[in-house]
Amino acid sequence: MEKRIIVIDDHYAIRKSFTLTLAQSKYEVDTAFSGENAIEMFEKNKYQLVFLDLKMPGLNGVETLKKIREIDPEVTVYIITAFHQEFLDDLCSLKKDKIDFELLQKPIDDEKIMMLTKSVLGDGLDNLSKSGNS
Amino acid sequence: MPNQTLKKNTKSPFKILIVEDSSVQALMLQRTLEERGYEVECARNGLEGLKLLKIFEPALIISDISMPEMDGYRMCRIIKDDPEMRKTPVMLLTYLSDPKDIIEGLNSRADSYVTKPYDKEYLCQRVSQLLGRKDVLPTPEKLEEFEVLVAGQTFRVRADYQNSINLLLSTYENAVQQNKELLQTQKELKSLNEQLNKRTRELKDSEQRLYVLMQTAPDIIYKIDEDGIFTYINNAVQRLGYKQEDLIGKHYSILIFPEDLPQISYQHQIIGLKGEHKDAPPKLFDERRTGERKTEGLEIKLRPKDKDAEHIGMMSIVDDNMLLVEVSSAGLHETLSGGEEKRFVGTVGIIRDVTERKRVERELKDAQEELQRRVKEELYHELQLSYSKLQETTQLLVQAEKMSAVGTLAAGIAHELNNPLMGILNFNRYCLKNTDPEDKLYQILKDSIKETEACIQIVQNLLTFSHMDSVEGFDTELYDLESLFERVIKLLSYRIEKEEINLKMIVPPGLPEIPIHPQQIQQVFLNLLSNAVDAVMGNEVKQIIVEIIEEPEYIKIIIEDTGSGIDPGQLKKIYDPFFSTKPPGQGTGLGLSICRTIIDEHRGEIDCTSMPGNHTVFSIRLPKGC
Repeated sequence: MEKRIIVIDDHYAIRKSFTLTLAQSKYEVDTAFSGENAIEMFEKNKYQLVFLDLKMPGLNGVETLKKIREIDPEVTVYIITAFHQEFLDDLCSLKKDKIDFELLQKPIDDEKIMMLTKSVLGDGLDNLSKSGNS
Repeated sequence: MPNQTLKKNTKSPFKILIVEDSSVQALMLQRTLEERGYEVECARNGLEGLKLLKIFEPALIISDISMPEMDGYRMCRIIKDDPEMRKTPVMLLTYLSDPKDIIEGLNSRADSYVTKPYDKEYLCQRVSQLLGRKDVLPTPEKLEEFEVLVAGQTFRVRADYQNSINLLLSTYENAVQQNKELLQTQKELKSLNEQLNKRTRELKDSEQRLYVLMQTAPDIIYKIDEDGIFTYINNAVQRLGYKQEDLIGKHYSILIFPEDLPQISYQHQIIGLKGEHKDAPPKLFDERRTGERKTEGLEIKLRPKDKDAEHIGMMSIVDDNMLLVEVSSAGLHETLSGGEEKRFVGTVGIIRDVTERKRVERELKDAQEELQRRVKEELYHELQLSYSKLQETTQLLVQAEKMSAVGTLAAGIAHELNNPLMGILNFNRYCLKNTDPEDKLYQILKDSIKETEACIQIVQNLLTFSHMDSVEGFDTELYDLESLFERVIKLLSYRIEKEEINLKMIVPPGLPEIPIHPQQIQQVFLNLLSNAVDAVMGNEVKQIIVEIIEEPEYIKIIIEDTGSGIDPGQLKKIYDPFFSTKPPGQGTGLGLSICRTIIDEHRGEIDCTSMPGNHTVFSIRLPKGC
């Protein structure tokens, strides 16, 4: 079965970062621009990996996650954020409710993105990186 | 039947008839008798008396002599001539003890004779005596007539023996009584006289004492009459240079300076012209004053006797040759005969020298003013200090507020920047991945990435500064400082190589790991090294030395550069937020203040020494244990 990834962030730059990085991988990458949009997609497809922003207009990251877990309690979710203090309490309550997630700090570069994806979904990459990262 | 006999001979023993034209005297007598249980009736003259006698049937008649209509003698004669009426004893009251009156009394055949003013007790004795008598009076035929010589005159008397004796005896008794009373009065008079003498002596002594007192009193005591002339003044006037006799008989204004007179005397005020203030009435001698005319505590100047003047009363020119005094006085009033009205006859008063007191008061006032002035100065000084302090504090507070506001703003901006920065970073990296290293664009892309990473770092700094730390690094972990430094150096390697900076690192072997927040300490080292690099750029000698030293409690890290140094004046400001020696646009000025915060949180120390134009040394201490 194909491995599907979804990137949920209201910023174009973030979504593009992921799609560029994962373009030459074997994975299907979907993007959603809002929590509501994400839920719609979740109802249509099954995902194995989720990258989720916290601060979004409309449904924020926490609320979106809760809804996602209702649909799919198993999928791996990475919350990517610069850690707004305002979400700290919500994140704590999520942990208490035994809603699983991982945390990632923005900004993250392509290397980190690849490393992470590989470790979660297994191999599936083409060799592409020409080094030169500092 | 004894009762009947009694009844026959005496009428009811309790009834007495008073015949007296003076209603006052009649009333008095009536009261006296009624007090003793007698029943009393009054008639106003002889005629009325006779009438009442028949109706009232008294046991005794007491009668005055001189009355209108019919006098007492005549009435008595009529009574004694009448066989029915003669039984009633008659007592005659009269003022005089003229012997002729006694003759008349004899002729009238009265039973008793009492002089006025009478002693009540005596009269009542006589009354009860008369009432107790049971004599039967003789008829007029038994009367004898004889001649008597009294006070040079011959009188014919027609009376019976018994009657005459009775009358004469009672007259004699009267005389004796009167004599007694007279003697008593004499005695009392003598005693009163003695008392008077005693009192007079005492008064004399008292006066003497008073006189001595007044003479020796230091205050001037005086008496002036209603015209203001001295009738008495004591010795104390010597202080002004006067003798007592100089002033007695003179007007009091002799002691006052002419310019003060309007204040004191109303008369002079009227005379004084040319727009003198007439609103306040004079204080001492207002000739119009009435009532008690009391003055208390009036302060005036007294004029001493001017020895150079031809006669007393000339104005003295010398200013301090005067006496400052306080005058207290009261009016004297004489009671006019008649007892009710009082006439003003003069004033007595005391004049007390208050020159010394005034001087002391003045000195006290000066001292008080001086004290107040000093206190004011002190207060003013204190106030100024407080004000400066307040201003300082306010500024600090404002600064802190600004900081807080900026912090929040910065945090907000930082968060906002993270998203586009991530985009830029990844876009550049993607491009780099798909560019041939030989391509000239390659290097440019690399530079772009570096700059982007710099931006990211700045944003991180900002977030740290506003205490928005990442979740990683809440707890300390044991870390190797050497490797931390190497990572930092690596970050700066590009610039170091480019600028050909000589970087040396000295690390002792066996350096222990210490508990730190790696991210934060990394940031500190990065900041300091970065500053060092900036410092040596543009210098001839570009050297940076990093040395790590192990101490018992701490690990010490020294970063030394041969840069242009820091001015002593600026040295203490370097940790201030937003303080920067870099031109605007380069750096935020937050670097060192963040370092300070981080080191403080690690319970370490950071120190800086510098020689301007030569070198700068930063030293950091981090505790080895918790």
